[in-house]
Amino acid sequence: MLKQLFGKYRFLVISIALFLIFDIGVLVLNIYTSGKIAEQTELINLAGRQRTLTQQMSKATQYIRAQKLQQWVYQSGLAELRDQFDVFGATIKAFNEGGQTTSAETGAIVSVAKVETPEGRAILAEATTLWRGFEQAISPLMIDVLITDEEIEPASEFIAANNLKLFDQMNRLTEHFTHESEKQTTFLRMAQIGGITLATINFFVILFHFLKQLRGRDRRLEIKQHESDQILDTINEGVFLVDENLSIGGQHSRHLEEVFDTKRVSGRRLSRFLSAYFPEKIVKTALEYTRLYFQSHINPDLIADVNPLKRVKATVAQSSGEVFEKYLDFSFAPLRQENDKRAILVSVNDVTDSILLEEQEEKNEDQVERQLALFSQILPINPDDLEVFIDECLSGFEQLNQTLKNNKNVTDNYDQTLARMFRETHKLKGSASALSFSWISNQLHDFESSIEGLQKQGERKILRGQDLLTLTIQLRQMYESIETVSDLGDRLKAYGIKHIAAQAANALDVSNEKQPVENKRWFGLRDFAEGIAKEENVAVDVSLRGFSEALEPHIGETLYPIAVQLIRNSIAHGVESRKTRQCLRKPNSGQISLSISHDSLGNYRFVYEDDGRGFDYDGIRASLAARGVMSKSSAAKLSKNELVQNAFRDNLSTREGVDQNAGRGVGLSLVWEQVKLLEGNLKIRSVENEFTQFIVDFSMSEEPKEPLISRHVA
Amino acid sequence: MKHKKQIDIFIEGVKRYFDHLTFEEELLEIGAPYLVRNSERLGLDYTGAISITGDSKGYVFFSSTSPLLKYILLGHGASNFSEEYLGDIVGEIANTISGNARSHMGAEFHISPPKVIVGEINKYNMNLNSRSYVLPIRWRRNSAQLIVSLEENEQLL
Repeated sequence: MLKQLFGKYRFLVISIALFLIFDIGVLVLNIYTSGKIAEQTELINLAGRQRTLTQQMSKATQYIRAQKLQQWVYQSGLAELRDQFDVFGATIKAFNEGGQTTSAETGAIVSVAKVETPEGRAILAEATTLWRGFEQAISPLMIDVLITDEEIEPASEFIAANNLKLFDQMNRLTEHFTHESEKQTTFLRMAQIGGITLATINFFVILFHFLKQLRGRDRRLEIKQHESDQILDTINEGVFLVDENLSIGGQHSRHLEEVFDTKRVSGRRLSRFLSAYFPEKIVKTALEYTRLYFQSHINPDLIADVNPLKRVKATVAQSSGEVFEKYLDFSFAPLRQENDKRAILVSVNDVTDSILLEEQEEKNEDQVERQLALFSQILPINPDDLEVFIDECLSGFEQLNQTLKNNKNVTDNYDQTLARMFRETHKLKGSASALSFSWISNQLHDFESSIEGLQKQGERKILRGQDLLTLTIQLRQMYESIETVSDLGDRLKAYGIKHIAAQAANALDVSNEKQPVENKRWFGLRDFAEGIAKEENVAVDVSLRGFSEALEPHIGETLYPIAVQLIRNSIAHGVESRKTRQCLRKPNSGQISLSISHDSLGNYRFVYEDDGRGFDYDGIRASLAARGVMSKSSAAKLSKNELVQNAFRDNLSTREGVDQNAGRGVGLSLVWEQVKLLEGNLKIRSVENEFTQFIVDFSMSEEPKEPLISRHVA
Repeated sequence: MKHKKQIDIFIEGVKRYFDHLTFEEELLEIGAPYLVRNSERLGLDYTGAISITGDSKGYVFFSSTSPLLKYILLGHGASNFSEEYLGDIVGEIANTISGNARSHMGAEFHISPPKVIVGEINKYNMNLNSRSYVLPIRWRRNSAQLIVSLEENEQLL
């Protein structure tokens, strides 16, 4: 403590001690000098009285002399003279040697110190010498009450001759004492002024010293405050203090406000603050965990190891109403404050970016795998075919969406809507299959299944718009899928990667036919047919004639789905197994031919033919009965022509079970829809176990025409 | 089919509002849902919007023509059809959708309080290349739309 006092506060202690010393010194001097002045005053009074006594003694002597004849009269004068003589004598003795005399003011006995000053002593020496003459002259008068002339005359003469001298000496003594007193007073005043001046200087030294220290301390505090403000403003971490009551302290970093998008932080209860951003469970955990730090018996390192507040998800609603999800890391550090209270320094780190990056990286890995799988499907496809297919899909999806949107009337009968959608989907699926693009064809197949499910549902109850939501959601996914394919196709193009099939064809140059770019996908139907044939465990040869010339886009786009559906039908229903074909003396491979021709007037003929088993009339009859279109007996009565016509109904299939190639019963119906688009005529010829032939006649001239379906059944 | 589950919850919210309003649920008809590109115009006269954050992120809008809202106001006995009142009604419907969604979707989703938009929906924060679901709604021969614009947090590919 003393060390502290004389260390940090040494200057203050010394300054105050000096201040006290100066003050006490002045006080002591004051008391001492005051005493001296009082003594001097007494001496002045006594000297003044001596002066008076010289005159009084002279007067008394003269009186006694004048009244010497009347003894009873001068007795009073004699008494006065004797008193005056005694007092004078005692006083001058006291001046000379120190001693007692009566006070000039009170008459009381007072002690008088010996006069020590040289000047005083010189005056006194002269006066004492003279006084001895007075003593000799007056002493005879002190003996008896009767005064004789011999006694009074010499006394009277001596006194008359010397009394003025003695008076003058006493006067000088008085003046001397007065002068001495003035010297004392001046000294006292000077001492007081000196003491007070020193004390004042000391006071100002203390004042300035402390003001300087205070200013320095304030400045340092300001600098510290400024530094801590700067740190809190710039630190890229949300930092705040929590006290033992789990309340947030008065200071926090600016970043904290940014993390939680609020300025209301200081002084709030931690629980209420966190509740705005975290689910109740996390808030509870956070509070329990924070309390652990206030329990002195638990090691903080141990608590830090079990921190549950890592990567916690916060929901931060901005003032604009937008809501953001953030991932935050909390860390805690116990602090002991000056008053020995505990506090926790809480740091909050926004780790959203790194977590999203991690997630993105994981997704990217998955995405790369999926992209590779998709690339492997896209690469064999001719880029031009792919482009045509993407356009076909986008236009088809648009039609599907339009079909949904056109149901303005919510009480619409959705049968027709679904049938229309089914045909469109089936057409697209055909195109996807023709390109062996299973990623898309599978989605279209699922979409078909959903439509079929709704159709069946529609048989049991009236469908409502909301029931079609599944289709809309699937449609959105298909849109996204085809956009992804388009994006990948563009990227492949951008990287200059040529598709495998094109490279292979160029390398081998297997075909001498010069294929126009627009018709390339028609020749791809061979691969498509072979693919389906393999699945159906049969073999086919596809020949194409007339496709070496470029087709008008509208014709190509409309006929292509017909070709796809008919190839599917031929392989799924018509082409027999190798063994059966051998029995029937047919070539091992089923022969499928497609041809297109036109005259100069713009009249076109598209012919499709296979050498399969022909129409399965019994199958059609059974299917009609099974689907409840007509009774078994009515179906049995139908002619072959009528049966073929019925085969073009929606959802009529002779195949049991559904797969990617057949079974939906929509193929022929789709063929007919496409023929109608061309405003063409459809002729069908079929000979059992020999062949089936579809002839589509249409015209590109402007003459009006009616679509017509006709059957020729051999 | 995560979207289906979520959209069904939003539809339930709409139905709940109209059910409470008229006690005749049958009067509310929902047409076949279709898709609209976000770059196209979205929204009718007044729209109540809520934003959703969670596994799926996006917006749900209840957008209505003025006549439908006026009809509701009439039902409330109101005679003032000011923009503010009409906006209040779509806000109220959006709030019902939001409340219903909150109780069904759980803590994994954060659903914002509704905001009212007059006229075309501002698509500032929406992915313009994406598509929104539009569920046409008819109520007493007046039309409205439930527009759901959801983005999956995981990509298709």
